[in-house]
Amino acid sequence: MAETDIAIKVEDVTKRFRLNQNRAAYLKEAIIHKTDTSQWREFWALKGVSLDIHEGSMHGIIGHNGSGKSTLLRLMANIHRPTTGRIVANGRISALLELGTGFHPQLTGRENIYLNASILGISPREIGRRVDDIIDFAGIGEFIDSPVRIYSSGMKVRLGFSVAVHVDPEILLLDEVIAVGDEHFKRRCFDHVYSLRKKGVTIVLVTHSLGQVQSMCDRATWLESGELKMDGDAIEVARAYLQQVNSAESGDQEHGEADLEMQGRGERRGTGEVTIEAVTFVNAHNRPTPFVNSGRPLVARIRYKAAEPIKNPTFGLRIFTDAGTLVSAPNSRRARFEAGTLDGEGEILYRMPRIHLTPGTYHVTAGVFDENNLHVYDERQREFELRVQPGEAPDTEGFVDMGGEWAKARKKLGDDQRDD
Amino acid sequence: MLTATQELWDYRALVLNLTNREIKSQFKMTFLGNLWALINPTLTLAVYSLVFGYFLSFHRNTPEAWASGLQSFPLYLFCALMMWWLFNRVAIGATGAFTSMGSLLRKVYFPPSAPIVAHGLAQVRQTMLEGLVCMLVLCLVGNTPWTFILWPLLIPLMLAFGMGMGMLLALANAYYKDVGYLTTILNMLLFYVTPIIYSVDAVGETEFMGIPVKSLMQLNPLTQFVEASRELLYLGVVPGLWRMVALVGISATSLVVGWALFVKYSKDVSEVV
Repeated sequence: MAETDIAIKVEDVTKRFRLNQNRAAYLKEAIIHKTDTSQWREFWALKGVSLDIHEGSMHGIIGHNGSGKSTLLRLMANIHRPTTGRIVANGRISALLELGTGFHPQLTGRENIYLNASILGISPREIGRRVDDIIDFAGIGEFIDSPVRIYSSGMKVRLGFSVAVHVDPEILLLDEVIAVGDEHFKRRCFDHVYSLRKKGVTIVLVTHSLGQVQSMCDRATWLESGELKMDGDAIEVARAYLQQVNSAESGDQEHGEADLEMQGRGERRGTGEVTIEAVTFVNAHNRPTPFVNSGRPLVARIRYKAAEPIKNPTFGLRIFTDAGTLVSAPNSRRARFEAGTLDGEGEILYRMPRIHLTPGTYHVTAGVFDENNLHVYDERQREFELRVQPGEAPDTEGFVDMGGEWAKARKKLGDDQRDD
Repeated sequence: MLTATQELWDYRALVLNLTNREIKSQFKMTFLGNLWALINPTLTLAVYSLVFGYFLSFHRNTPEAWASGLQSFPLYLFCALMMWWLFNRVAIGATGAFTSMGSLLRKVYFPPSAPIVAHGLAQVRQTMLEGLVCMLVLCLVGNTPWTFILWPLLIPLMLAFGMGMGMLLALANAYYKDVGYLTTILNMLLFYVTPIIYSVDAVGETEFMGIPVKSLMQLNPLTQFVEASRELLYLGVVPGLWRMVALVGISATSLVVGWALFVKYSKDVSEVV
C-alpha cells in the first residue's frame, strides 16, 4: 500500500510511564542528562507496536483493560509522545478521548466551542458558521451559555462529541465515548459517524464492544499488555478475540448456574402482577449455556412469577446489538400464542430452531404485558445477554446471517435478451 | 526550537483566543467590574503612599520631577510600581499556568507555551491603562516631558523579560509544586531589593560584603526597568545608553533562554500536570 493511503503510521512505538516518581529524580535527570532507572517504578504501556491506519477506513482498537488501547490513542492524538518509535499522522486530527474532552470548566459551553475550535486551528469565523449546528446536535439548549462545570456528564459528552465531529476532522479518534449517553443520542452518534465515514474521514475507535467492531469497522487491532496481538480485518480480529475470551469463560462454566442466568443491569418498569424472574438460554441438549454458536438452535426460558391469576398475558423479547440497534422483537401475542391463565411460578419457552445472528454480544429485553399488549406488568430492559460465537458458516458482516447459498444460474443473461 | 516557534505561530488563533478570554474574565463576577482595573492600583498606591510616604517620610527624599518644583512621592512611586506590577503578573502569574490549563493538556494537544504567552499578552491592557492614567495625572500637575512617547517601548521589553522567566517558573512548578511556595517568598524579597518605594540614592554608601549596595542594585534587571520608567515619565530624561543596552539585552536573553529551556523540557509536561 502506498504511503499516501496511510492516515496514521505507527512505527515500533513504545511508551513508558513513570510511577511513584521520586521528585528529586526529575531534577537529577535534568541536571546530569542521564536517565537513572533506579529512581522510579516504570510501566511500559506500549511495547513496540507498529500498525497502519488506512485512509478512509474505520479502525477498531480492542483489548482488555490496561492493554494500552487508550495510551495508543493518546499518542496518536499527540498528547503524549512515544518513548521510542514514531507516529506520523496525515491530516487534521480531532480527538474525543474522555468525558468532556478538552473543556475548560469555568467557561460556558459556547466559549468552549470557540476554544476547542482554535485549538484545532479553526478560525472563529469558520466556527461561527457551525456553532448553531454544534449546539443543535448536542441538544444542550439554554445551558450553552452556562459554565461547563455545571453540566451533567451526559451533556459534556454530547457537547464534546458534537464539537469533535463538526470541526471537519480528517482523522477522528474516539475513545469509548459513544458508549455513554442515552439511546437516542447514541443512535445519532452512530448515524453521524457513519456519515463522516461516507465522506472519507478516517476513524479510529477504541472500544470494548466487539459488536461495534464487527458491525462498523473495516480493520481492527487487538492489543494485549501493550503488545500487538493481532491486526487485520475487523471481523477476523474480533472473532479471534472473542474466541480467546470465550475459551477463558468456558473454563469458568462449572461455577454455578447463577452466572448463566446472566442477571445484568438495566431499567425495570411495570406494575408487577406478573414478574420476569430470569431469562436463561439453553442449548439443543437442554443445558444452560452462556453462548450459542451461530447457526445452532437455542431456547430462551423465561421464568415468571404471577402474584395473582392473570389471563393470557403477552410475553415479548427484544434483542439488541451492542450498538443499540433492535434486531428482532418476538412477541407471543403477534404469534397468536395463548399462555392461558397463569398463577404462581412457571416458565415460558421461546424456541429458535437456528440462531441467525452474526457473532457478537446481544442484549435482551424480556417483558410481560396484559392480554392486549398495552399494560406493562414487568419489563426488564436489556438485562440479559446473549453471546453468539462463530459457527460453521462463514462469517458475514452485519447482524444477520441470511443463511442462503450461492449458485450460478443455468441460463445466461444474453440468452434471455435474445428470446425477446 | 525553530519548529516549536513555528508551531506556536501556527497556533496564534488559540493564543489570541486565550488572551481575549483572560481579558474578558478578569473582573467577572465582581460588582464593580472593569472599574477594578483602576481601583486596584489606586488603592495599592494609596496604601504605600500613606505608610512609606507619610508615616516614614520617604517623600522628603523624593527627587524633583522634570517640572521644576514638583516633588511627589506617589507619582514617583507609581512610575516604578507599573513596571513591578507588569513583571509580577506576567512572570509570577505564569507559575500556575499549568494548574489551570493542565487538565486540558491531558485531553487535547496544543503547544503548552500557548497559555503562558496568552497570559502575558493579556496583561498589556492593564499596564497601558495605568500608563495613560499616570501620564494624565502628570500632565495635570504640569509635568509634560516629550519622553512620554518613549515609555510604551518598555512594555514589550518587560513582556519579553517576564515571559522568559514565566516559562521557566511554570515548567518548574509543574514538576515541583515547591516552586510556587518559594516564589511567593522570593517575590517579596525582590520587591524590597528593587528601588521601588525608595530611590537608588536613598541607600547611600551602604555596603554589602564589601561591595556598595548601589552598584549591586544595578545588577537587578528590574532596577533597570524601574529606573527607565521613572526617567521617561517623572524625570523627563532619556535613559543612558548603558541602560538601554542593558534593557534590550536582558529582555532578549531572558526570552531566548527561557523559550529554549521551555521547549526542551516541556515535551512530556502533559504527563505530570
